[in-house]
Amino acid sequence: MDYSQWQHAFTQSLLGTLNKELSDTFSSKHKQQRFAVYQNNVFHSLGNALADLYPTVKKLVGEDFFTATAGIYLREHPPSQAAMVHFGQDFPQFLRSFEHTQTMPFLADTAALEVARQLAYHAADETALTGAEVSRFTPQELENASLILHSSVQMLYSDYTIFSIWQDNQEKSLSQTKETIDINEPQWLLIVRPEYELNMFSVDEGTYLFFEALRQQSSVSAALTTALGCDGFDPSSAISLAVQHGFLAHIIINSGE
Amino acid sequence: MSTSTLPNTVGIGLKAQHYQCILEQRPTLGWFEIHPENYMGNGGLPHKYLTQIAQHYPLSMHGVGMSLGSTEGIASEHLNALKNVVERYQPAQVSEHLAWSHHQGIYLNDLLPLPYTRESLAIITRNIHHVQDVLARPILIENPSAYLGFNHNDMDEPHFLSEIVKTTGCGLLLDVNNVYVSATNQGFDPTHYIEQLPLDAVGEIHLAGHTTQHVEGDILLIDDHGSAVTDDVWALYEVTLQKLKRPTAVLIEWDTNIPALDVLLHEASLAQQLLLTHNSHQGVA
Repeated sequence: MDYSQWQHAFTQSLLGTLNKELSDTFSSKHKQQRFAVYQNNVFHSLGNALADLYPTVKKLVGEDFFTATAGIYLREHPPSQAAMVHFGQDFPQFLRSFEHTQTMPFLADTAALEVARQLAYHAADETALTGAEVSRFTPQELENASLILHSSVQMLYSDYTIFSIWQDNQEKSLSQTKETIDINEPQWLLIVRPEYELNMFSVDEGTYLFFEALRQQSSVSAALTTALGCDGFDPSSAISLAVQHGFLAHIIINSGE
Repeated sequence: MSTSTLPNTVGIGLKAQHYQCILEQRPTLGWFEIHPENYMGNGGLPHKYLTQIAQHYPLSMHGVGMSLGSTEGIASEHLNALKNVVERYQPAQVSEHLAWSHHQGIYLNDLLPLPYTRESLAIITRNIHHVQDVLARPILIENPSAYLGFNHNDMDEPHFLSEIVKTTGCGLLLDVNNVYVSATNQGFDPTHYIEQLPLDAVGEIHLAGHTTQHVEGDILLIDDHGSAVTDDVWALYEVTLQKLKRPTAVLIEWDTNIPALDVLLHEASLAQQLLLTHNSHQGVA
């Protein structure tokens, strides 16, 4: 075996079982036990990193189930790079098709919510527009303008009440009403971190569609038209949510009629 | 030649749970070590705190993900990310490990061992040259803690490290706990190991705790950075300072089961006392 083949055999053995040809290159006694130290390091450290990223999922399934699931996920989807901000982001997709979590159909979306929070947390810092800055424009100018969302904004839709599930599983949660949640209700979520505090909002479908249109850089009037088809959509409260909670980074005034 | 520009004092690892405490108390301490992999996001709180702490203390960036021993060369994405963090914070020192962790697009998140052969030497020196060229600065390389030995080695670890230093001009980060762990696990004399190293190249010392396992009657030490420095490692640290005959930067490493900041500062003060004692004996304090 040249060094490259040896490294390959070492990698395969770490993710599976110790290969005979590789173990013949070890000069130490207790080859299996010593090799297992490296194997434990890999799965223990990555398992911990995954648990840090998905505390709510871990709480929902319990520690033992989480550790077992993490082991299977990490063998099938080992990380590709060392920067932890990119680690474990396909875990929601894994949970979506993992046979042992099919009885908890909301679990994958809850994991997706935790990824979205992580992305918002590490997004580039950017100064959000203030209400005063927005009010310098005339209503006519704003209608034709494109509002550019803050770099930390994340949007999430689920068929399940993932925001309530997430909230109920926070350490600070005072809610004792877990069993009263009807999980089979759709939720539309917006996440933003204008400075260092991350905020998450459960909104109506129209407001979500309005933000979705803004994200695609539609003009404000086109975004409002998209959203007005939804029952109960209130344009002024959607706009005030965007302005007051730092969802906006820039205004592009589109000239002409 | 030493490549260290860190102050020749004791530092500790910077942990997120201590950010606020450090900024409020501003403890007397030489410097902080960070893992650059934790600061490769674009923004947010980690950068806010690190920026503030870097205004008061020198930083050392101790990478864990470069995989210098990879047969496929260095992952350019990772090297570019490191270059960005280095440019942003201008650390006094950058260090990495004699190890690999990346193979065919898989990142294994552990410092894996390599056989010490002419072939692996050529690969790791080429990789270190590449990293130093891109970062435009020399780096320090840390000796690993070993659980396995290999039949096909062409040389022992001190000679392998000496060759690396000679060929690449990098410095050495001498982890005294790793020497102790490897010496116990592999059955060699730790003092002899240290004597064989090119000590002029040492730019930093690491001290850490380890745990003991028993494998069929034999002792296997595990380098887990999760407890106080043991008496044996303190003794080997003193031996190292005697042989080094000069002050250097010293780090207290404690990365798992992280204790209160005061506990780390206490370990740091013990290391600092020994550093001063040994160097006043030699008249270079």
